[in-house]
Amino acid sequence: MDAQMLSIAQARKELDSGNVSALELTRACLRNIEALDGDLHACLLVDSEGALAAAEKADERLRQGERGPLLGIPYLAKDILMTKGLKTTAASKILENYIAPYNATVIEKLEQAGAVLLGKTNLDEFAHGSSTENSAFGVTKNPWDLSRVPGGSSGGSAAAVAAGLCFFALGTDTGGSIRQPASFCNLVGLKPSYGRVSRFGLLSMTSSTDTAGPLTRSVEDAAIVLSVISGKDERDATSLNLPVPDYSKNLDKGIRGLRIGVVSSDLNEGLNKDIKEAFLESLSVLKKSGAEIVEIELPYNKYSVPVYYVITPSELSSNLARFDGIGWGMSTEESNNLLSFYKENRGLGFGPEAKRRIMLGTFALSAGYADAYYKKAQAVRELIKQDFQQAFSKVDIIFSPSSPHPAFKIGVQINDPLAMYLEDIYLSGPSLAGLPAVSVPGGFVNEEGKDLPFGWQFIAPLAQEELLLQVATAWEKVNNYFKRQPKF
Amino acid sequence: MQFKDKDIQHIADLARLDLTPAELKVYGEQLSSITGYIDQLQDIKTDINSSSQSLNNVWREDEVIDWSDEEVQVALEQGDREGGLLKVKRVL
Repeated sequence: MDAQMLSIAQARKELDSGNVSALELTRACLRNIEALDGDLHACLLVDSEGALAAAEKADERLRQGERGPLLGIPYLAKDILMTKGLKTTAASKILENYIAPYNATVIEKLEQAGAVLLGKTNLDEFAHGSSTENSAFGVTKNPWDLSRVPGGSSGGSAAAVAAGLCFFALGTDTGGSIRQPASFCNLVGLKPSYGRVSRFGLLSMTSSTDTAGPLTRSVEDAAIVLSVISGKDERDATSLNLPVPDYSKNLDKGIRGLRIGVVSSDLNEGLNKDIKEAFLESLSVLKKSGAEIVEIELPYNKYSVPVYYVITPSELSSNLARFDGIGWGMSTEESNNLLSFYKENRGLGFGPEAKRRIMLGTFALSAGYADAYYKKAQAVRELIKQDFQQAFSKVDIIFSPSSPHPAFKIGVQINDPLAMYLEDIYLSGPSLAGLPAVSVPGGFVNEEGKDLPFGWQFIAPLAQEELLLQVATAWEKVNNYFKRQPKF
Repeated sequence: MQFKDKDIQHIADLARLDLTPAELKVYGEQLSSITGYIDQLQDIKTDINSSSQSLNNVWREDEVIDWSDEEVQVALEQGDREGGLLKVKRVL
């Protein structure tokens, strides 16, 4: 049995019937990390000791008759989520030695559920990027082709799940950072509604769009994890005060009679032609499954990338102002007063993309420019939100590609920030509007003799994750893309 | 917007970032190109009052909640300390 390639649902059955123990599953994952992560570099930290202890505890709970969806299931968490007693670096030198004094709410919820934390995954520094190339600790490789990026910023989490280093991984998505790596690695990547999952203990990037969610190998697994991590948290004032349904309950309801909206301009220049062809084919597949395809317009959504790249840098320039290198980062001894000490630490401690975004945000908020940039972007953001609201009066779900192309080669876009920002062309709109969206495996294109996966995105109205996952399941059922695994 | 070295230096000062001359040049070019792209937003007619309609304040009582001793200890173990205080450089 290739234990770590089981779905969570399959592993659950094996654990509950006593065929396998949490300790065995954990050991299998740790062995895989040991064997494969030298090539992939998906993990920044592996806590074998903590994982084995947590697995033993889960086995004890199982022996006492306790049952739960994630009891004894090993997982990895993006290294931007606080994990008590473990380093939490955000892949930045400025937090290189930082040990979190408490757990993020998502980590705490998973601990209570008995999930086994194996370690922390790589990301673009402070989640700034779409490739993990901005990590201060080296790039993660895509298991489908080691010369390519896994996407980002949750690229370590995506590579780890795709390669079977864990059963699921937590990522964060601010403008596409779960969905884009999911599409590059043939995974299900779920960005919940803004506020559906607590942000407490997630190192803030863009406080108004940050979300945490799962990367999994199947839609059902994403539903299982979401049911555990969702809910109101008094420590996050923006968390939604809505009941949490059992997201796995209605997955099989199908899509008969549902109206699925498609925006024709999504198929314009820029979209890989094989992916475009596959997209058109998938429309007839959805029709055959009983859905009605409705052409819609989102006239302001085309401005989502420029809006995103004003709002995000603005918020993060303020959020990252707290990092001064005092306490846990690299710290210079040269300066002789506090101001130059700050400037030197921050100049050396942040990487190129973090500095670029801090500068852009500082500019967009500065006297004389805030009206033209920050306030203008907020006003257009409101129009984008209204676009989606109007669209959802005509359709139940919106369908689009996740990314305009499959995974790109390491190094080709690193010196072109604007090209990198356009990676989020299909993804930043739902983030700005706070809507739930999921990327699911859409198929494969062959490049240079290698099959590379790509993904489709479904978008639902606010807090309608149940419907979103129901539609994603219907798509997953008519193909076997999610069963394909990388060989490397 | 075209950024000159002195504009970038001003932004870097505001952002508390020391930049090398090479960085000043590169960021000048990149920020000019990025804001050139962002400037398409200026063509959109917007009503500034339409923003943030859906936002409202969330209040709570301003109560002191003590940290657990364990958390305090982990947090305070880190960094350069003297007599229970964090050591920093001279301010003035």
